[in-house]
Amino acid sequence: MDERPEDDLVEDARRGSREAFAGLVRLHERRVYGLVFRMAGNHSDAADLAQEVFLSAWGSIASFRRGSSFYTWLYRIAVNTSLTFLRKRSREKDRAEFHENMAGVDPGRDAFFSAEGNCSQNELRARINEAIDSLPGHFRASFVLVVSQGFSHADAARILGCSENTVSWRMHKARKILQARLKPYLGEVRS
Amino acid sequence: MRCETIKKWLSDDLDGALSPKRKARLENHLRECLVCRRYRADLTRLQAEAASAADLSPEYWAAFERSLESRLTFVEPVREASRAPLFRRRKWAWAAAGFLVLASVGIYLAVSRPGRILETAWVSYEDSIARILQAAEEDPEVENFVNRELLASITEVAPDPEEAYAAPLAADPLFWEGLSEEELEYIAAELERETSHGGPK
Repeated sequence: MDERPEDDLVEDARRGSREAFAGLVRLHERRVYGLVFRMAGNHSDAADLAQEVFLSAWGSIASFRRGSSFYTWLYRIAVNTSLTFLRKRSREKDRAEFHENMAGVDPGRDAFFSAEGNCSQNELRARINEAIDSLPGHFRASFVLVVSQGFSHADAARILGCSENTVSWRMHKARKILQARLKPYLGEVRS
Repeated sequence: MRCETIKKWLSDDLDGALSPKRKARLENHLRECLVCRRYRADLTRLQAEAASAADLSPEYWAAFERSLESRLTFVEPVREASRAPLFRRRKWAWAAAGFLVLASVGIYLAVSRPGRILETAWVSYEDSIARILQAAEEDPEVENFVNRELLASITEVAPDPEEAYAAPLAADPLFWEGLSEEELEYIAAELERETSHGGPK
């Protein structure tokens, strides 16, 4: 395994070294995967997205500017790739729902979110994932970067290309939406 | 203190982005407000569950890296040198587009605005001399009429040759000074004969 510092790996990768880039992949693959998994909501899409992120990064590694933060650059690619994927999936979902409605089929999403019955730990986690999936793209990106990835507001702002105040505001709104949707289950666990 | 503001501060506090001063005010509010305490409990629970990372085996990552490695062979990194000309070409393309827009606006203004002036100055064929002359060629009566009108217009405009000749001479003060004594006497005699008044001495 390549144990060189990240800056050296980046410099060599910029010169075309695939071995150095593989070292960068190993350094960041888990966090990139965690990010795209939270954005996509399932492992199948997350695996494809994570690969796509690293392929895009390799394709445009020459455009990475020396002195700037590699992880900020890489995570920005990951967020943009995820948002593009979500927009595409949303369009496909709209089309599918349109066809289902035309056929008189009810997806029965509300039935899944019923507060009746026991709410185990795994069930709560599944519902949290569902609720995160329902957040608008930029709210979800902020929430995932800060809560799931542990970035500060300042780092998340750099990755998302917005101000810290915007991240703070999006976090507040995202939490309000999630708390409102999960209130019955969170309350049940609390009691 | 409004609970809505406190909820925003609670969110910042969970992310470690709340100032110590506000944190103290937040804690004071929470001691008194049950609703906000419950909201904090919900957010803390949500935070703990959402922060849990996807736990995947080392075998999974090994397969992920192998798959990526095989796909990387088909992607060639775009070199900086090959990107720069594209960027420059784009700049030129924007400059050319801007020039075309300005040129189009200029042509539009040049053609459309004077167009109204040209329109008013333009003599239609119905009123033109060409149509009158064409009609005159076809009908002798019209031809005679046109010729008469043309001749009349010429005589009206043309100045009287004698008047045109005499007026400048008489108006020129050097004319009289350039004449000899004999010529002056002759002119005076002629004038006296015509008008019974004496001419200039």
